[in-house]
Amino acid sequence: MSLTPLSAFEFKKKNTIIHNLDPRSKLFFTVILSIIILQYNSLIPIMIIFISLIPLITFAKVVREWIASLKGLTFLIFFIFVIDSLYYSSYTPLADSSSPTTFALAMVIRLLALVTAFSIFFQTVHPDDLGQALVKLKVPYNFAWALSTAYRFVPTLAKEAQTIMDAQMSRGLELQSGNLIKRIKNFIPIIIPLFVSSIRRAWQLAEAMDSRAWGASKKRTFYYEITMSNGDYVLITITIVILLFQIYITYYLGLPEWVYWQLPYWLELQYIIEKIIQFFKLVFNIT
Amino acid sequence: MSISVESISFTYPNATQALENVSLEIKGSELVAIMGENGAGKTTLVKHLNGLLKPNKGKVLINGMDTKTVTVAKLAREVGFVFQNPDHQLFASTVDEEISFALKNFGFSESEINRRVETVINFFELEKYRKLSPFILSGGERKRVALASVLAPDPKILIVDEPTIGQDFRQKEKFLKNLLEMVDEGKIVIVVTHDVEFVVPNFQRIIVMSKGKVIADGGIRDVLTDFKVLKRASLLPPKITELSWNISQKITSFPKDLISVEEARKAILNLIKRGF
Repeated sequence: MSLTPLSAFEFKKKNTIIHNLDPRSKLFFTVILSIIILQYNSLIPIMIIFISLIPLITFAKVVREWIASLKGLTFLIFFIFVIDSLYYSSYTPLADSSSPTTFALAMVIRLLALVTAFSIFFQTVHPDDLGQALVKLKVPYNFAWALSTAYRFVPTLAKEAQTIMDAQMSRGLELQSGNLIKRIKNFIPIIIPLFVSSIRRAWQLAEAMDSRAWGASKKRTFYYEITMSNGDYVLITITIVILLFQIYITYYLGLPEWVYWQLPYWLELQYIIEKIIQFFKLVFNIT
Repeated sequence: MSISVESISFTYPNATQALENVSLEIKGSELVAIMGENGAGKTTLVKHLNGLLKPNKGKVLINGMDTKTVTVAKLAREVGFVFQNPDHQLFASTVDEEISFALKNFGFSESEINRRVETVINFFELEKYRKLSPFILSGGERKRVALASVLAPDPKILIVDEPTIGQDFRQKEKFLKNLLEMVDEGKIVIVVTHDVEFVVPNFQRIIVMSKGKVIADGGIRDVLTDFKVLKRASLLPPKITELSWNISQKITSFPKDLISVEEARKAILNLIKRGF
């Protein structure tokens, strides 16, 4: 049991084009990208967006963390895929194709694309810079601070959860055994210490902040000011162009037919399962 | 009882090498201290002894069982492990329940659980807290509850990470007495600590680590009077050793490798009787 997938949302200092961009332009890009992804339900457009994100991962030099995060999502991916392809019907919200497996695949890739976009953002933005960016976007300092602190504590919490799991396993706790209810119960000895120590830490943090005169001045200044560079304006421009282009193609021109391409029937999960059942019936002579 | 660590190396996923070709052999019953500077690999090493970490190279055998082939929960029956921070393990709504957690996991009977809880509660003087939530206790008390909960199932091998932090002298003495009793019963007790004065003079063996390697492994007198080793591992010698070494610089007949108050008293009385 390990929590390495969380490392996909942990900032690591690196010197790349993407790391050096201003958090505001990256935030703008990530949000617009998510808006674009969420407009589509068919496989091909989502696939195109997902594939076009891959160069960004290599630019930001986070390929290893990205792969780790995908590995961590295996269970969720499998779950979405199976549930969507077996329980899909024309009544499913967002349904726009007659092929359940194509739809399921599209949903899986949409999740991967969203995870990728946000993991690039969080891995390349320092928590302090995120706070400052939010302040500059006119978010009240209290909220900006709370948000950037929450984000800063993700790796700490992950590490702590690992230690707690180790401690409880050393007291004979079997995490991977028993039925579903037993397994959920098994997490009580992990969740409670995690909560308690987080609350304890929050108190300590509050005391430390108070003793350093947090909130003494109304207008907060920063030692390091984040600044928008030419690269940031380029990114924002590109983002706006992509958005306008996407709106124009999708809603004005209309998407071409091939965009709605679907998997052939013999690749449908339902079809494959049916065939397997038929096969077993034949083999074991069940009528 | 035996622990056998056969030239293990371990590297964390973030590429820091924590252990490099470490070998150890602990047999029968022994009270062993593992010391060394911060980040020397002490905790990493002891986490290998109950299977929480598996070596990248080499192997660890606990009573002949390869840690790679058994689960941590199974090894936990043999190896008790007390973590540094009690807050990482306390979760139950009363101290009683907290202590019976491991016992329940190991499948002890109701009456046996009650008997064992009773024993450790008495030993650690926790009677008045039995029905209280462990979270409202003080830091030192929480530490004792954590210790009690690991000791209750009576593990044959006990590993304790930094037990003396935040404990007063009386609790330290009691705890040391408990460790010595366990060793008398034929157990292996391994203590990770920075507290030299806690180790002297009762521990039989000290393993000193530095930068992922074992740099000294022997009786406490040999190790704690070897100033070179101590310096490499950022450890202070015991005060008595420092004193005896200082005196021996002036008076050559004075032994320079004393570690206990008792020895020092004899040596000084001797010196006075003989004259300088």
